[in-house]
Amino acid sequence: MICASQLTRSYRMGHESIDAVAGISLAVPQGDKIAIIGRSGSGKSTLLNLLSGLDRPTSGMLTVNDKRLDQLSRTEMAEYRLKTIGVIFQSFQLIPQRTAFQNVELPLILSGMSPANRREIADEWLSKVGLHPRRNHLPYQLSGGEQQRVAIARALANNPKVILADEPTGNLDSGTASEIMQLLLSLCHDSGATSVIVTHDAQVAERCSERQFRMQDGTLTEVPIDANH
Amino acid sequence: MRTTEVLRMAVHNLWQRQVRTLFNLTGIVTGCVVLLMTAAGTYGTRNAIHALFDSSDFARQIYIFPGGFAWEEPPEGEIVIDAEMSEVRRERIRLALASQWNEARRNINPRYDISTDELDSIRKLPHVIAVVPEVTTNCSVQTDADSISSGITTMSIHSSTLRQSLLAGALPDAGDREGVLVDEFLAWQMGFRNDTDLPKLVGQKITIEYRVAKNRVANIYNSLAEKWGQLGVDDLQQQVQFLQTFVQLMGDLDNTSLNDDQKAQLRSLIGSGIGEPGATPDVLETREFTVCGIFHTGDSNPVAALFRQWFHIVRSGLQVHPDVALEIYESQSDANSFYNATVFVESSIFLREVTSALQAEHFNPQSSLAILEHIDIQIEQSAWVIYGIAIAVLLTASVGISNTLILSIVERTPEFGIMKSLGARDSHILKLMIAEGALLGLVGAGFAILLSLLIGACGQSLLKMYVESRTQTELAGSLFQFQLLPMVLVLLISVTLCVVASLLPAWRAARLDPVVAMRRT
Repeated sequence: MICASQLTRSYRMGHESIDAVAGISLAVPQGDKIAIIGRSGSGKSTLLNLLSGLDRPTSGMLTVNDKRLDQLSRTEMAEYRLKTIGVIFQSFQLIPQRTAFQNVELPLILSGMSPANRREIADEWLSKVGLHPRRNHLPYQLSGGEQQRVAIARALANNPKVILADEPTGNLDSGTASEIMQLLLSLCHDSGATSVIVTHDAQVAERCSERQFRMQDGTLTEVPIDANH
Repeated sequence: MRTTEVLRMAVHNLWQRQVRTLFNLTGIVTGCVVLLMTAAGTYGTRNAIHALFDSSDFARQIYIFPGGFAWEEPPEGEIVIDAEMSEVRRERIRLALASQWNEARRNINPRYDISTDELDSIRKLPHVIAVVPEVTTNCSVQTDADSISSGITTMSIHSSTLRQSLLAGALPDAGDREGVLVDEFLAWQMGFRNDTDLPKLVGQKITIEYRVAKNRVANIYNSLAEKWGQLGVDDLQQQVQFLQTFVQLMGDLDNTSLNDDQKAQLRSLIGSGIGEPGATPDVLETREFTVCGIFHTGDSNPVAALFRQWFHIVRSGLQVHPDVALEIYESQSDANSFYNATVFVESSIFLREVTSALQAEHFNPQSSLAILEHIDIQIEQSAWVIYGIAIAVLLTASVGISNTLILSIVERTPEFGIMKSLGARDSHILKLMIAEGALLGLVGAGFAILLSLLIGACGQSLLKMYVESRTQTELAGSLFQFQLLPMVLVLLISVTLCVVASLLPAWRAARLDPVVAMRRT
């Protein structure tokens, strides 16, 4: 369950204060799949950073799975990122010196899992995303779509309760994007996790979510499903 | 996150940046090698010098004389300096007065001999092999044709130098009381002059007469002092002069104002015949010995020659079993004390310990200790200079490591950002960076140990050859002796320096904001 109330994230630009997220309120029940659409600079990624625990709100309350993110310590926040959420980035964010397998293995290492279990789980996820044969390839040896598959496998490896995807197909061609979205949706569905997908593509949002929100100038408005049709 | 995983990732990261790792390691290895070689060289050189000294028995001997005097601070109130003066001058005057006080104390209770009880207590000291009192007695060797004046002294059965100086025959067994070693000059005097003649003397029986001799200077002086009170002559040289004058006066004893009892006491004290000019001392005893070996008094060992010169060590023409020498000595004198003795120590490395114990008993020990300690200090001082240079190299290397790690944070910022986005804690990043530093230190020190052992093995023979050719002396053992402790210490120093060098970069990496970090991808 994601619950935000009067959530604000401000940045200072010289003497001026800019609200990237301006007092939004949001409630997403466990297992729901939502999409946040909006133009570049509307505050989508800032909201996602807040939800993923990479950033902290300036004011307001943010609760994810009964955890008050705005009150967590640095260590608790790291624990939250490790165990509660899985994040998929537009630019994949794979570690270039590590193989596909090692990238997927990383969150499992951080959670203190034994090497045997790690190997089993990482291989299983690589199989699920169809990349097991290329497990020992470095990111630069993989195509964009393959890199995003690795990123998806890595994000889901720890069985997160919430999956956050920031423009997951933004760097891919339309064909590959479609495949990746299909894969992501399928895996999200199987895991039963709450998913928040940020995109500027209305079609993607429509395909992958049960509810849609529009972000504009830091404010969030729910878009009725019918309005998209 | 498990420690093994931290280490595995650290190894992976270092391996990924091989060139940078290699440059970092070069500084560490250089510093560690210098440290290790200095430690091994210092230890090896010191041992080689000790072994060189140990090759001469004299370096393992301590010559003790009575009269060793322990300085004491005068009791409070004993020294009063009632005058206006600077503190520096007051201290000088105080020391002079304290010295005067100590001098007076020494005159009240002088010591001129070493008792047999004291010798027994010295024998019980740790690392003491034997204590042999000096007993040198005049005697004459009777041959068919002549009577040759010579001297009997204690055979140093513990002396390897004596064994090395044998020209013919062998040292007698420890329990052989009849065996005697004959000096080559005495053999020459006895008519055994050709080299081929010397072995013929071995096994022959010789007759030795020993006569009533003058008591030892110290004993006579003490006896006089006992009978007549303090004579006011403390210095040994002065005592000898005093007694020489005294013996000359004995010839004119009847013309003195002494009464008959006093004259009789003096004659008895000095020994029969001595008071009468031209008289020959009476033969006290005749003994027969079997020659078991011929020795020479020259020293091929330069250290032994040096010590012989320093301590005025004289070898008599005949050397007999220590117990026999003692019997002869005691038969001539009712004194159960000795003017000096030789303490045999296991090795020169125990000289300090035994010397301190002897000084505590107020003996005056003389040995090679001062020279050895001086050499040790010189070696140690040189070593510390090199240690300083090595530490400076290591510090420079660690600053380089710190700099490299700070630069690598810039390069690895996205990586740290990704790790944090996946749930890495600050402590995980901190541990990872510190582990990388520690591994550099560990691997660097490990390489340094291997390299040092290699250099030590290769350079050892060359250096030894060079030193031996320069000093004309054969060195025992290795000049580079690697010990476990310095290796462990170098390992610890290296790892500690590298860990300290990585602390600041690690802290900066750990505090990176993941959002900012990932934007640099």
